[in-house]
Amino acid sequence: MSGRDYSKMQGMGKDDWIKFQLNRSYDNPFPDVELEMYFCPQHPSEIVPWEVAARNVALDIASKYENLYVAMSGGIDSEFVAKTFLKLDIPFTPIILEISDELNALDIWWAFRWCKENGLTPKVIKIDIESWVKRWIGISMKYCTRFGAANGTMSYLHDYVRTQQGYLVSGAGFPEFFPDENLNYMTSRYIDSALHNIDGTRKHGYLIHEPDIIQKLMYPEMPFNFLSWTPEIVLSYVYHRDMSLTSAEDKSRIMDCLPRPKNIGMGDYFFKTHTVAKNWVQLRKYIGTSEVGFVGSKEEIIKILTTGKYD
Amino acid sequence: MTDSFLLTLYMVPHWWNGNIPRYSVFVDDKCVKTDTFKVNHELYRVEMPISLDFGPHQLKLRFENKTKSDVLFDQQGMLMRENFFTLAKVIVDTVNFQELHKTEGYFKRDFPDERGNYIYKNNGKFSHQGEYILDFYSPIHYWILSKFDSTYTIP
Repeated sequence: MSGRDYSKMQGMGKDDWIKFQLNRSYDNPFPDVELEMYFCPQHPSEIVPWEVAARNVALDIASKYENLYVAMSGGIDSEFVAKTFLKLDIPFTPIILEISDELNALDIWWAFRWCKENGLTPKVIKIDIESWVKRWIGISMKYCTRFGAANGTMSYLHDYVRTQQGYLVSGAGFPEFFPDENLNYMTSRYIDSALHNIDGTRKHGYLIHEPDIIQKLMYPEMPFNFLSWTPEIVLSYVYHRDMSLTSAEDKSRIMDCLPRPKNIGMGDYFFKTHTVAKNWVQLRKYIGTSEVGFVGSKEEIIKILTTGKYD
Repeated sequence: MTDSFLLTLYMVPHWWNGNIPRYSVFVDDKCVKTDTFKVNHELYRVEMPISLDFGPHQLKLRFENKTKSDVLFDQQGMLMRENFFTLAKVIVDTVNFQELHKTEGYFKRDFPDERGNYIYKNNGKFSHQGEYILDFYSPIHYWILSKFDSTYTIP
């Protein structure tokens, strides 16, 4: 990490404390590191309980941004964000994207359920599959990125929120631990070069996904990454994560949300059968060799965040 | 750096006389494949491993042996029979060009038409003596990515 001028890099989170640089481009198709990602805290953080760290994030975002929307995918991450705002009486509007032909119906069922239980009426954005496909392919083309679907989905929500002069918060941008069963595709369907050593063995540590970076590039004003907004919340999660559990199990435990299935079956079927999407899936295998930024091991991250020293 | 990929062309030849169409494939004016078709009126697959330096390149596909006697007109000048072939599909490794070979490629006749034109927008049909030309760059998958169709204006 030393020798890098972090001040010239782009950032995300509070005070742009997570620095990143996407090096892959049409002019530089196979850089040594495709996505650089560094934690650069301005101060040391203390290890606080998860609920305290989340509360601090919510209060910080609410103090700086008005007219908040929370993107709800039906997953635990976004439900936790919404739950935290609700608990603190911070006003927000849940916003849900519904793709035609019930493509994501099994996922967003959980978001509708949560809204109903808590007496909130979500803003629902309805789109058809073809425009969704067209959109994420366009994003992938523009940013030379391997993965566009997540950005395509989020872009509809961001665009709407922009029209309302609001700010979108979500469960995206969460640092995830690898290896993990939810990330097995990065070692089975393809070998992600950022997550493997030269001898083929897997690295062990935390990553941030490329779509999160693209989202930041597309909508720089949005405080979308609640779960990595501050060094404190990242430290709290990394410290408290039970390494004997999978990420899904652990998030359910830490965030106190019901466990739920990852409904990848329908999406998988769609991407294997849709004329354009299936060709896109083939193409993306040849674009770069990685779609994550590797941040560091548990020990490295705890050291950086508790000392505030990253160089 | 070198870009290596498997180029697969799917063509459909048609001939009515003994002059079986002969095709040639060139990359940067170097012939990588030349042959006569082995089937008539059926999909015919040709595979070629290609290795190129990163940068601009040109693919050409030539119809080599079209002659006047391959074309038969009736007394009113209507086309009755003709030898020709179509380029139906282009695959790079496992990636389908879809319409890219039509939108990006063009056909250059050896002889001009009655209006003096040499260049035609490619419609996938090879019925003139001449060559299909496609300018692209390597790594070719990035070139395909940059051309993938989209009408959405991205923020």
